[in-house]
Amino acid sequence: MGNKFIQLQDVKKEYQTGEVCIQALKDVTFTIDKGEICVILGASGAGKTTLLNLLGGMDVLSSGTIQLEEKLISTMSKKELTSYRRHDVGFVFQFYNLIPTLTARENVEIATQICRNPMNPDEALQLMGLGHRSNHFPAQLSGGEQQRVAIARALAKNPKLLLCDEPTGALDYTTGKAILKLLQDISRKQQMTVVIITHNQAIASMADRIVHIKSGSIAYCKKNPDALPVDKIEW
Amino acid sequence: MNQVTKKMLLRSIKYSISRYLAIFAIVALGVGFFSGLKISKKVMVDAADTYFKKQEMFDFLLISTTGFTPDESAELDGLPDIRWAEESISLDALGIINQKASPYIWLSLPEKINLPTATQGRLPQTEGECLVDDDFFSAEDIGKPLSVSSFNTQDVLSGFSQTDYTIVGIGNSPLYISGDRGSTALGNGILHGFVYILPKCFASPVFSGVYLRLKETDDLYSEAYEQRIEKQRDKIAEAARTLVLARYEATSHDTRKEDQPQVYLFTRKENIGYGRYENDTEIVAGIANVFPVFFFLVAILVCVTTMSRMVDEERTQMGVMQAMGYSTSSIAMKYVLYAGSAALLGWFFGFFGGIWLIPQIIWVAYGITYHFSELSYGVDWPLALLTLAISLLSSVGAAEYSCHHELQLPPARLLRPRVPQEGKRILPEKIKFIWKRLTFLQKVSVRNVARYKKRMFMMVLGISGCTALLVAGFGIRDAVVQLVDHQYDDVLKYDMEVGFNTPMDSNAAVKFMEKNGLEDEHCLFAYSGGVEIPLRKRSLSATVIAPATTEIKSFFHLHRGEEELTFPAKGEALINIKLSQKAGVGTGSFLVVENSKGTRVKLRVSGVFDNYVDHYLFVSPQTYLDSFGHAQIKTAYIHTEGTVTALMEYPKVSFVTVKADIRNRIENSMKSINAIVVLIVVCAAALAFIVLYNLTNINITERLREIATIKVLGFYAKEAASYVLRENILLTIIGAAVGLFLGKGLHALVVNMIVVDYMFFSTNITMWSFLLAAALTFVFTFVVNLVMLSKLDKIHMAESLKTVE
Ligand SMILES: Nc1ncnc2c1ncn2[C@@H]1O[C@H](COP(=O)(O)OP(=O)(O)OP(=O)(O)O)[C@@H](O)[C@H]1O
Ligand SMILES: [Mg+2]
Repeated sequence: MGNKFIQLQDVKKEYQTGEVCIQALKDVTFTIDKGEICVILGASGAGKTTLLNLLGGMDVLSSGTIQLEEKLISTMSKKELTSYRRHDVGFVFQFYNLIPTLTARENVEIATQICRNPMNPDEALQLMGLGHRSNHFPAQLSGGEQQRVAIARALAKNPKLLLCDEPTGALDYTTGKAILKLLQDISRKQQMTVVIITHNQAIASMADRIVHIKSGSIAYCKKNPDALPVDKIEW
Repeated sequence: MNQVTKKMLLRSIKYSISRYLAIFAIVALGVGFFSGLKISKKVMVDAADTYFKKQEMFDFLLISTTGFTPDESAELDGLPDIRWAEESISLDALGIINQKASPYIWLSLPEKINLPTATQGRLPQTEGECLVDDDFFSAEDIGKPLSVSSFNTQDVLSGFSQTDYTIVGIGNSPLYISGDRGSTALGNGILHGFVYILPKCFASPVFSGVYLRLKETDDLYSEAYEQRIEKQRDKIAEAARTLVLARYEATSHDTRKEDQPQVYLFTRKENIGYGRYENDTEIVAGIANVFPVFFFLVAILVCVTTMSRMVDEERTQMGVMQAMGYSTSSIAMKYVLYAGSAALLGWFFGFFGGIWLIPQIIWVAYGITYHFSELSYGVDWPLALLTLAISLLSSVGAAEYSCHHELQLPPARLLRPRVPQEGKRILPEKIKFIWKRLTFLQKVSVRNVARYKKRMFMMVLGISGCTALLVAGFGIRDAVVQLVDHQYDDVLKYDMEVGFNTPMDSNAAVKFMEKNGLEDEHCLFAYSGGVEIPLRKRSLSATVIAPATTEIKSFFHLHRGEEELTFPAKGEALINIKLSQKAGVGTGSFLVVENSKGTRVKLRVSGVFDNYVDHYLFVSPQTYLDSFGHAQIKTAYIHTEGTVTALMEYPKVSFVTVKADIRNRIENSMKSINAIVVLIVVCAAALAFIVLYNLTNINITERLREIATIKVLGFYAKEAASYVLRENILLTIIGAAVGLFLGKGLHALVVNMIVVDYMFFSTNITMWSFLLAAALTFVFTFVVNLVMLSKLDKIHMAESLKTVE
């Protein structure tokens, strides 16, 4: 395979809480190609969020290596990790994590303030169909709208990698579907690599690559050559 | 309370120890500062009261120009309200020790009144023994010989029947509790301490004075005591006058050489140490009355914010417990106990720490001047109960108040997350001109500051309180320094005051100047004397000065601010500001003055001048003559580089007071104020730290997700810190600005609380004090921010974002 974008090698993550040591991830090895949509499946507590946090440089691994293009993320210092998050990664969370005291536009702006070649915040919001709501505060927006602001915030940084942790978890069916469609469209249009965590098996069919985690290890990682557009999926 | 709630309480304390400590610390600080200062005055007065009572400090002193005989003294002793009358002799004489001659005041060892104590060695028992002043002598001097110098005048020498003594002890006397020993006509004019010898060592057939002690006593410096003294004074003076006059009348006409004898009555007020000690305790009391109130206010607010934050965090837990069937009161109990126990501990350490530590600091400070006894600790139980009640009420009240609202809600509502605060535009956004100039992140900070109103209010209060305390503290120091500088550099311009024993007519004045090489412009001759200004309850002593010429500017610079005052016309007087305030008489009104004979006259006030120590009236010689009778020039104010000794050699000179000596004396005693200023600075710092730390902590925990989010977005540690801490800086700017104004007011309040009759404290604060106060406030914020920096760095992104609030 030619364009390996992300490579994980024997990744292990342990949590030490007092006497007990919890092994959240072990022997995780797989790759993701550039421009792919990768869906990570697994039961609750399997280690999905842990994996995503490692990919996004939000946490450090216990052993193994993670590489993004030429960058070796697993050996980065705290400051380098911050810089990596700042320029290369965009995050979307289940509970949006918007800053309640900032308007939609300002929530995007706070991200674009600090990176190298950001999108115009208004453009990013327009892309998400929220151009007319840019002066509203999170409390004045619906859950779906808030999630779209969160995606606009992640995208406006022009990241190389977009990480989404159960982006539709708190949304209803139609809204969830609309969000997923937005993500798919962006990935296709901008050749952006997108990693999506979900509980929902059905969503997997929109992905180019499906990774299944079972109690901390990879159960399987397979390519899905005939990924469906989100419109075609029903669940 | 069952096992589970007890466990939950303990766990709450353990997991939020910084919150628990915040309540503990602010209560301890408030209670400690308040109780410590409150008790300081009491401790000071009690120490002096005990000492004066034990040493039988006099109530009245009678002096007559012809002295008193033992019979007269016995008569006085028999007066109805008098417990004792005791004769006393005192004589200024040069004494020689280690081949060096210095002026001492030699006193007869009393048996009943004004008893000296030996701090080392013992009191004299035989004629060849003496006890000396422990301010000027050390234990090593015990056993050394001290003798009356043969260089004393014949008059002085003839007063002693014994001239050679051995020092058998050093000690102190209730007559001299401050470092001041007064001035003398001998040597360089300054007394080098007292020497107690047995009465029979004096040759004098008559006593120079009689000390009286009343049968009943009151608390020291109390109103009751003043009233008792007022009631007795005329009666006693009259009795003494009758006795002395009877003796005078009895002597045959041809042996009468002198004028009719005069009798003077003095009270404790004229004793330097006694009066000064009272002033110093008043300064402490003035500070105690104002500053601590503020700490209590802040303490209550800290309790409220801390407890509401805690209740906020534990909403869900409260809901679950309610759902399980716990009663609201048993749930509230946890918070009540949490806050109450923190406050109780705080009270305990604060109260006992405060009443132990603060009087000690003040005692050490004033010990430079006074060291007549050891500090005795006492617990003021009413004060203890009062502070305990306030602490418990405010903490428990805060806890009740915080959870009352939440517990009114049905448990289902508690279990649901709180409705998020609605986003709103804030006031500064409407000021387009400023808003446009701010960078994006600055805008965010401004908005956050304005959004969290409760925190903004608390923070501004705490910070402005800190700044205000500092301003007031430095301001008090300014007032004291300015007092000395203004009085002795700005108002009194002469170098020495010379007293003459005979009236100086113009011939004598010219001779005096010639002999001492003084030019006309170096000398201001004046009529001067003491008068009383009757007030509603008591009277104030003032000095009337009637300069022989109207050109007095180079001796007394009489001005009010920038305005120079003109010399008063006939029937008019210039009076000092404090006197004008005390008597409630301003320019144009009439001041009632009582001369030494007790007759009252009215003078029109033609101007009020700035003056800081003592009360003065300036009148023209004619006015003096008209109002106060026989005007004799017995004083001169001079400019000279010469020595006191040279002036004292002139036969007509009876005393010389060097302005610089008085200045030094007052300056030294005022040094004690520095310790108080340090105490205030430390307390202000503690206040700033507790408030800033606690509120920043609350701010950070409240906004954990927000901070984690910006860290995820890739804010570097420094950027993330300034994102949050910039708000502290903004609030510090606001708080410090407010505090500078508050401080000015607080300072004025404290200065007005200091009820010292004959000192005027200016309410001017120097620029430096303002700057220093503001700068220190920023330093405190900076230190708190540094501590918070590491706390922010430790926030774990993944974990903080996992929880749903
Ligand atoms: N900070 C931590 N300390 C200790 N254990 C942790 C920590 N974070 C996660 N774990 C454990 O690691 C394992 C994996 O957790 P993770 O959050 O990655 O699961 P997940 O697959 O995202 O589950 P879910 O679908 O419920 O979100 C779990 O067993 C969890 O208990
Ligand atoms: Mg998860």
